[in-house]
Parts: sequence; structure tokens; C-alpha cells
Amino acid sequence: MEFLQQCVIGLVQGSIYALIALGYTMVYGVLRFINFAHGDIYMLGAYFGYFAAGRLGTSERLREGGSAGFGEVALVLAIAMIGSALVGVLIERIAYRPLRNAPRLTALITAIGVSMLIEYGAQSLFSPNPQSFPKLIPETPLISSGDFQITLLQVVIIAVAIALMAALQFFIFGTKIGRAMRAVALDRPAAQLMGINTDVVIFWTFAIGSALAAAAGVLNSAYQNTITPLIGISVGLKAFVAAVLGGIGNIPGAVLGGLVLGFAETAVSATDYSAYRDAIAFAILIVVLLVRPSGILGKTTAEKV
Amino acid sequence: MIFPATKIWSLRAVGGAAFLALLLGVQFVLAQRFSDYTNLMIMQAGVAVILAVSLNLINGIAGQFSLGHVGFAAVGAYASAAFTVFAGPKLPFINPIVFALGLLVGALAAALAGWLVGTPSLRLRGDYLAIVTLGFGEIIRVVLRNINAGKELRGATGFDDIPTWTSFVWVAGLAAACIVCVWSVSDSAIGRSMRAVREDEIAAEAAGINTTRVKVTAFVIGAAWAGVAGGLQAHFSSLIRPTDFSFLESVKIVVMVVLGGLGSISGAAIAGAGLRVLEEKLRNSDWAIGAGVLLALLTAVLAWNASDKNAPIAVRLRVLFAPAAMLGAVLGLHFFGRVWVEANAPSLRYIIYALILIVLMLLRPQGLFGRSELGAHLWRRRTKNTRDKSTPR
Repeated sequence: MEFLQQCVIGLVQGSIYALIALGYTMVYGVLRFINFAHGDIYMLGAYFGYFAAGRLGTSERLREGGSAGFGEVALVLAIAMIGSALVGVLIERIAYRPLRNAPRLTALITAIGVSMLIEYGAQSLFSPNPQSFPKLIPETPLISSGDFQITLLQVVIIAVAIALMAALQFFIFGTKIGRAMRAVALDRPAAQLMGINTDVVIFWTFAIGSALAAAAGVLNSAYQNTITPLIGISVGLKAFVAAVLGGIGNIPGAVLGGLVLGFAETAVSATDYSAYRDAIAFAILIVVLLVRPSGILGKTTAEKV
Repeated sequence: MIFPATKIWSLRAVGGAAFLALLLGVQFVLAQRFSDYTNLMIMQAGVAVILAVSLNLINGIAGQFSLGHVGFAAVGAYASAAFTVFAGPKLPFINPIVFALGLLVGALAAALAGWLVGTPSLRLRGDYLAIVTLGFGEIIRVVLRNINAGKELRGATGFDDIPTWTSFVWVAGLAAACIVCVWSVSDSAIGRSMRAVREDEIAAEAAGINTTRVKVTAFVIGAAWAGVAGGLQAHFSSLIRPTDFSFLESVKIVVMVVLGGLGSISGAAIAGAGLRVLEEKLRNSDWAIGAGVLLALLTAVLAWNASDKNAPIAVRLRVLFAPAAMLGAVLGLHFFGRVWVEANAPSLRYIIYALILIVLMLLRPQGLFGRSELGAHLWRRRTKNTRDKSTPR
């Protein structure tokens, strides 16, 4: 029972990482660079959700012991996703587009700068103090026997993550933009020569990646209860590890990597070494990069001279 | 003119002694004229110089982008502090010798960490290497947080009661030694190999350079100096905590190196000292506003220089729109938002750091000094015959 319980926790954690890892992997697939600010988009998503819930009056009702309707929660989630998508697209337009043909390190350093700007901008605008995030979805136990229980919140997180991944799958394989995205990921210059507008593709990549991160931000904050402007750093880094673990640029890989990382962290937490929970992701990263740098599902490519 | 080897060494010894005497004199004047706070800031600036110059060897000269430099400083800080606190009292030496041994222990421990990080990371390039070094930095921090917590090293609460032995002479002398060391390395055969690896790793390998050895050398030397910097820091702050060595600190060192110019030793030294002082000064809202104005002006100059020289003036003036907006925002905050600025000064200084990074990357990715050294043209004139022939015109 204890084992099953830990599996559920790992699955929830893994779904969150998977949602964020998708954004890293999509941007890497199209632009070949690590969007360091992605973790901060996750944080902004959580704050947008927090403010939306405050504005809609949901937070106050929940504090007074009421409950939030399904539509209300969906609205909060949608506002956070749209807000973050806009920020993500804006960042791409201002900071990354001028560097599209610059060396990768230049883009990486810029992304570190953008990440710092968002973190400390958020600190000065939203206050550096932790805020308590409203319990949008109650933790009513759905199944409960002995030590083992699954709450409604956990089920909702997993369900929303699955729904969003299914929607992403449809977008990438069932729409014109999705096909263009796959083409750009395969070979950008060739795609451009075939008449694909790469600017439009990159716009959608950032919009969708950021929206997924925002959804993860709202869901995880409802689970963790508190938010600060710096929550994006460690979650973002771990999600990046998940993306590398699965094979960066590979969409099913990001999901797999997220789940593996979620389970690994939960497993470490359950042992005597729980203090090392935050280090396990990086240990995995180092092992993966040394043993199989292309990740579990990634393809090994030889470097051309 | 060619000196016999013994004469060079005696010249060096005399020069070193004179330099040490000069430093002692300066330290005396500093202690007399300035407050403890100012003296502490000068020492912090010196430590920042060591960190920036040593990172510059890894990032700028060898081109191996490392985001975990502060992890090496943490290893050095803990190792040297553990040595002076636990082994120091048992040794029959006077304090300066114990301190020197402690710094050496810190440097060796950090060098070992650098070797451990550098060796497996060699296979990775660019952004992957950056992430792995970041990961190592984080692992070191998590380990320090948990290592015999509650006992000698005190884990997350911080290692305290470290003797405060660091003085201006130590910091300035070691900063000078660090600059000389990195300079000599970069000017030697292995330094040229490092630059070759930076420019094109595959070509360097094809030309017979042992890229593995070159990269590990850069990592080990850079890490050793970071360890010295950590040891110095531990011995003037007297308390070191794992949180003092967070990812943000590594980013600060990267900002120093990038601002000075990846590959420029003097640029790294100047940017290191300048930014560390600025970081302290920016707690004051007047300084924050001033820095904002300065940054807007710098952006204007860089944007103007980066714009198309042949375009009509009216078109070129358009690039000044963004700096003008920045200036407007800063002035707006100055006149209407002083209360907010004062309340948020601790966060605002990192916003300025972030903007420095972004503006530089967009408009002048080579940094302020590029790869050239301050006063390099004087040097080049003297050695014209040996250097200029090799550079194609």
C-alpha cells in the first residue's frame, strides 16, 4: 500500500514535470536552444492563476469554506495559460528573435538574463513574500483504504495533464501549423525554402509551450499551497532535466522523462536520503549525459564537420 | 635582452617583496582613512576579481561555458575553513602560515572538484556543459546543506566562528597572483591551445591538440582560484552558509565575465570589482536610479554603434527608441515612484544585472572589452616584430 501511495505521488509530480518539459523540448526542437526563462513562465502562470482567482472572487469564497465550480477552475486555468502564452511570445519577439542566427551561447546568456529579469521583476511587482495559493480543487479522498488514498486534486492534475498532452498530440499531428512545426524541427533552412513561415511556427511553439507551463504552474501551486517569485528556478531546472532525460526535442520523450523524474524524486523522498531529493535530478542528468547524451528516446546523431 | 634564469628569479623576488611592501602600505592607509565597511567592500571586490578572472579562463579563454563556478568557491571555502578551524590549533605555526596552508587546502580541494567536474563533462559542448556545471553546483550545495548537519560543519545553519584573518594584503596579493597566473597560462602554449579549442574544437583536435587535457587544465586552474576566493571569503565573513553559494551567485560571476568581455582578463577584473561594488551601492535607491540612467545611456550608445552605418539618419535614430523608453521609465520612477524604488531596491539591482546581460547580448555580445586587454596596444607596439607578422591584414 505504501508503495502504491508513493506511485500516485510520483505520477502527480511526474505529470507536472512532463507538462513543463514539453515546453523546453518544443523550443529546443525548433530553435536548438535552451529557453532558460521557461521555469519563470511556469511561475508567472501560477501568479496569473492566483490573481485570476482573486479577481473572480474564488479565493475569498474558498477561504470562507465554500467551493469553486468546474467552470470557475477552468476559467482560472485558461486565464493563466493565455497570460503566460502572451508573455512567452513577447519574450521571444523582443529577446530571442534578434539572436536567431547568433551563437547558441549568446542566446543562452540572454535567456539567463530574461529569467533573472522575470524573477526579480516579479519580486518587486508581486512582493518577495510567499502567497498562499487558493485550494481551487478540494483534496477530498476518492479512494481511501488504510494508508492508501487518492484525492480529487491528484486525479484532476493527472487528468488535466493527460488532456493537455492529448491536445498537443492532436495539434502537432493533426493541424497544418503542427506539420510545419515538425518540418522546422527537422530542418529549418529546408522548411523555409518550402515556403514555411518560421516566424509563425516559432510564435506557436512559444505560445503553446508557455501555456502548458502555466497549466502546470496553477495545478502544482494548488497542490503545494504556496507560491513565491522564485518557485520557477528549481522546478524549471528539473523539468529541463526531464526533457534531456527523455531526449531533448522529442515530445513523447519529454513526457517519459518527466514521469521517470517524478518517480525517482518520490522514491528518494521515501528513503532515509530524503534531504538529497533536490540533488537527484542533477545526478540523473549527469549520468544520462555521460551514458546516453541523446536521452532515452532521442536519436544519436553524428556531428558533421 | 636575455637574462640568465637565476637573475630573472632574483628580479622576481625583489619585485614581489616590493609589491608586498606596497600592499602593506596601502592597507595601513586604507585602515586609517576608511571605515570598516569600506574596507570590507574593497576585500569583497578583490574576491570578485579572483572569481571573475578565474571563470574567464574557463569561459572566455577555453570557451567552456560553466554556470557552476560558485560551487568551486563553496568547496574551497568549506575546505579551508575546516582546515583552519579544526587542524589549525593543532599545528605549531603562526596564524598567517596556517591561513596560507588553509587557502592551499581550499585551492587543492576545489581543483579536485574541478577535475571531477571537468573530466566527465568534456564530451559535452555549449549549453549542455552549462547545464551540467549548474547541476554540479547545485549538488555541491545540497551536499553541504546536509553534510554532518548539526555537527562540526553545521549543515544548513552555516559554518561559523571562522577566524577573520583575511586582510587587504591577502586579497590584493592573491588577486594579483591570480591575474598573473591566468595571464601566464593564457599566454603559454596551453593557453593558445585553449583558444584554439574555443574557436573550433574539431579543427583543434585535427591539428593535434589534446582537447581533453586542455579543457581539464582550464577547469582545474579556474576551480583552484575559485577555491582560493572562497577561502578568502570564509575568512572575512566568519560565517559561511550553503545559501551563500546559490545559482544566483554563479550568474553574478558570469555577468562580470560577460560584461568585461569573454576572453579579456583585464575586462573581467575591472567588471568584477566594479559590479561587486555596484551591487553593494545599489541598495541605495539614488544609486539604483543613477545606474538605470547610465544603463539607458549605454544602451543608446551600443544601439547607435550597432545600427547600419549607411542608413539615413532618420532611420538610424529609430534604434534610440528603446533606450529612450528605458530612460523615460527610470526618470518616471525617479519622480513618481521613489517610494516603490526604495521598498524594492534589493530586487531592482538584480533587474539591472539582468538588463545588463540582455542589452549586451543583443547589442555587443563580445562585452565591453571584447577579447582585447586594457593597454594592449602599448604592449603590441613594443613586440611588433614578433606578433604582427602572424596576424593577417
